[in-house]
Amino acid sequence: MSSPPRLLPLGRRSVWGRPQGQVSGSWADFRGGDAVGTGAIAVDTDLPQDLPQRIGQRTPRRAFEAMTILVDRGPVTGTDSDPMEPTLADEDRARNAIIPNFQWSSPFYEYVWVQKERRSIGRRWADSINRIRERSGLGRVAAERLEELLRDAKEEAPGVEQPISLGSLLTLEVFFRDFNVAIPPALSLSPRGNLYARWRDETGRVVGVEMLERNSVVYVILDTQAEGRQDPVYGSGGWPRIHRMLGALDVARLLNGER
Amino acid sequence: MAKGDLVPREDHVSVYCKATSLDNGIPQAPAFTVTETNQELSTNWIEFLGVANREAAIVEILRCLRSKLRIRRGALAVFNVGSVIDSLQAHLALRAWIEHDPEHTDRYHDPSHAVLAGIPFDIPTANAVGELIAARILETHPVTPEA
Repeated sequence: MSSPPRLLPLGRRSVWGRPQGQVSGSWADFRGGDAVGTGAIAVDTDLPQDLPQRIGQRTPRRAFEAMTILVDRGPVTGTDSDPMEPTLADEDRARNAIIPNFQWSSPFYEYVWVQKERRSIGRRWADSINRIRERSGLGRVAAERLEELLRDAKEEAPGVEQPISLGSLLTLEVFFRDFNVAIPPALSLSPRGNLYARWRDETGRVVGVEMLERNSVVYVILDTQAEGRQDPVYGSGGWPRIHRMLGALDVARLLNGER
Repeated sequence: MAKGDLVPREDHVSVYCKATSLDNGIPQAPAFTVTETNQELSTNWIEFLGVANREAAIVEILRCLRSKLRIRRGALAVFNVGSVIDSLQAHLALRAWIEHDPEHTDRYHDPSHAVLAGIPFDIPTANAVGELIAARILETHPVTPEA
């Protein structure tokens, strides 16, 4: 391990785990021993250089470098606007193309896998916050509130790396976009670690939405000021259902401010 | 009063709300939702303490909570028992109740502890319960690490 691992300039549209399972020319060149491309080169500093020795396993240098790159870049396969993770099978195909017959279930692999996941989640969280921040209207306020919420959550759960569900954040981001949200909601954290967004208008009508993973939500719509029996409407589902509910109950304006 | 006794409708309870369940200091519905692993909402019965005023009761409740929980920032939300019970009955047809549940161990004593029970933990209903309770807050007392 005399030289630091090199990071190939793969760009946002990575070679990793493409659906067809092909490994690009860049990786083939890397397997020959030389870095290719002309982009920036970064070095993973978090991963101990002597990790294979520490865990007492004879790990091929190529495997170490390849996994370091996995850790650094993450197996991004989509585009900036449509990030997508590859399947495990995709990743296995890509790894085996680099180091055939390597024992990927080794302690080394486990360590690197955890590191990769941790850093990938942190990076995707930051990316999502930044995309929310760029939204006109509510973007800056919502992004700052989300960052505050993450700080509070880490304070309440010391040692927990990501106390708020990343999937929930991604759903919130898409919800903001698809429902043309312009009014910053009150944001809090559910006991399940999901984001809970709540809008309330001056007449006391409330829309509460818990963001689950994969664009799924749990919603509550109620009128807190109504005289007599005004039952809340609540349920769960995807975009079509909540679209119908917001329209039927005439509460979409709580979210977008449109009259 | 014995463990399991119902808290009278005219009395009040407080609920500790973590910082992540607040927005701008205001308790949100997640502060009052139950889950499959925690199916009752912890409260403190204010009148049980028999102290002179609300401020003294809040101080005593915080002292008890701090002896058993890691409490930093947040808020104590106060409700009227009957108002919450009636709201859950009227809007969700739930027969909920608040019962005295004093806690005494070697490490701590929380004699005014009570629980709101009889509420479902499926997420949609639990969230609807949370919103209805949030709409019934009478007072909010900020909790700080120094308090």
